[in-house]
Amino acid sequence: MEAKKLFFAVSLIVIFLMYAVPYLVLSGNAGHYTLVFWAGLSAAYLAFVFLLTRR
Amino acid sequence: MESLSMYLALVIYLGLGTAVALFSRKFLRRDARDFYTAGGRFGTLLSSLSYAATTYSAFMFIGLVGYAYSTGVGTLGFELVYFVGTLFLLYYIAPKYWALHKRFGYVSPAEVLSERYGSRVVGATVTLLALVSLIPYASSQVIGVAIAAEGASGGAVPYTWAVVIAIVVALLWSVIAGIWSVGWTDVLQGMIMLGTGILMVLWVYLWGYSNASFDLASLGSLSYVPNQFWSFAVFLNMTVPWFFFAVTNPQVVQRLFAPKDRKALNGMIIWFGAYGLLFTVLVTLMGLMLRGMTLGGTFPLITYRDSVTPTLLGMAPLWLSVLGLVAVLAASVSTIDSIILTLSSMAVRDVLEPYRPSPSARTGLLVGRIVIVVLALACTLFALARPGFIVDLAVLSSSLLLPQAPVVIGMFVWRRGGKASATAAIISGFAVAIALYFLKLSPLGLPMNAWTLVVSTLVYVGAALVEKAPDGVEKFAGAWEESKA
Repeated sequence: MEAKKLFFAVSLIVIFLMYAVPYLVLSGNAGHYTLVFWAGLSAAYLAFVFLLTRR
Repeated sequence: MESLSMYLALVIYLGLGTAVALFSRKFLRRDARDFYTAGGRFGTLLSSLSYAATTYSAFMFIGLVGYAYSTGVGTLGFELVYFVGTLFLLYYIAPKYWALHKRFGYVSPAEVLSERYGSRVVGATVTLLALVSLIPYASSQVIGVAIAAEGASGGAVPYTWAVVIAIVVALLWSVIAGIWSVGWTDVLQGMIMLGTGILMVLWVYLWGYSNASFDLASLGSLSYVPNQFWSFAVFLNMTVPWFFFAVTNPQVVQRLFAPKDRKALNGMIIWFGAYGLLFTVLVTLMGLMLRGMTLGGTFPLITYRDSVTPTLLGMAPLWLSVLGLVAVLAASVSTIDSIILTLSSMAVRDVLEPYRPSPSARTGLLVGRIVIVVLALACTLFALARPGFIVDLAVLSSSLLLPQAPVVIGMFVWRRGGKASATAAIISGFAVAIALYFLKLSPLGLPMNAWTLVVSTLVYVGAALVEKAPDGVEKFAGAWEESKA
């Protein structure tokens, strides 16, 4: 898949997950899961952008 | 003794920053393009730290810490949606803006829109929108400094004095060598902000830990979403304008002109990302830890959320209070001077020059300076009135700038639409934002910012379907293709 199309598809998924997982899946769960999810997904996305810009 | 130390630290910071600004003059070539965009000669370090310091401001040190303290972990999500949105938009749009600057030498972001949509009315409209919208944002930076100064010094540095200091420093560092002095002082300030952020979080952690009162699990509903504050509608309303910040805020768009080559541009995106992620997590954690310590009895309960960081600075050891105050000042000044510089360039390039062809260099400079002074006065008056919370003011600014989003994105992805499409989208979106904000309405349960985006996008798409793009639109695509070669 072309890099820009791959980036677009992955980005849409990441953006959807940023909203959906904390509000729908983790909703009401006490603890650190929400914090770790948001920070972890953002870090993974940064790593993805890094890899694509190095290509 | 404390106030003496505070003033001494401020003098050292101002002296060091001014020395750096004066040093940067040796890079300045005496023309407007170099003054406002560095002529596209910034390396990776200057590009990335300048972008980060311009973006991250008192909003983070004061506003976001207080928000996390008051509303919980939803604050982290709100800021990280901005983070992901910025990386997403920069990946696509930064290379295109950069290529257009290299090819055609644009100075202001609005100039690009005027060229693409075939009318200077578009650039003038965007400039007027930015002038109105960015006053609350710039003022919130000054408010942040003034509140921090009061808290850290126990009132020894008065609010009004802090407002004046922040404005004067921002003015000084933006006029010494334009983007060069702003960029180099941003490097210094960016390092101060991140270093101090790390030290503050470490100290809060050790302080809380040693008193055995720090426990995130005790935060209860503040540790997840939705909770009593972060309903989905609130989260959506706050994240929508923030998601598009990178394409709607001219002070960061103009930074995309500065990198010297594609390597520096890519480095800017990645290093800004690393900086932003670390800084966001740090300030949010600080707010959450302080809330945990309030529950544990070692930090007072704060009801006015912008007072959380100033209260911490007032309780911290003197060395950390002084560093914290300098960091807040650095965060604010690095944003204000960039806003002032960008708005000044837009006023000259997009309002004066199109309607008064070939003004002399002296006239252009005079108008730029008048705009700077007027903006500084407006920000000072706004800050002295203390109209609201820092986060609310910042989000309001981004809400008012939001109608530009479809116009900017459409410029890069669609070869239709001209003057009418662009101006109608901006004006209709702005009208919706203003009406819903003051009437406090959420039609059909959708928040204000969602309506602003929907209306401006529909108007833009609808008008562009019937309005052809002006001649010359192909040259934009040509510039991007050239940049890849």
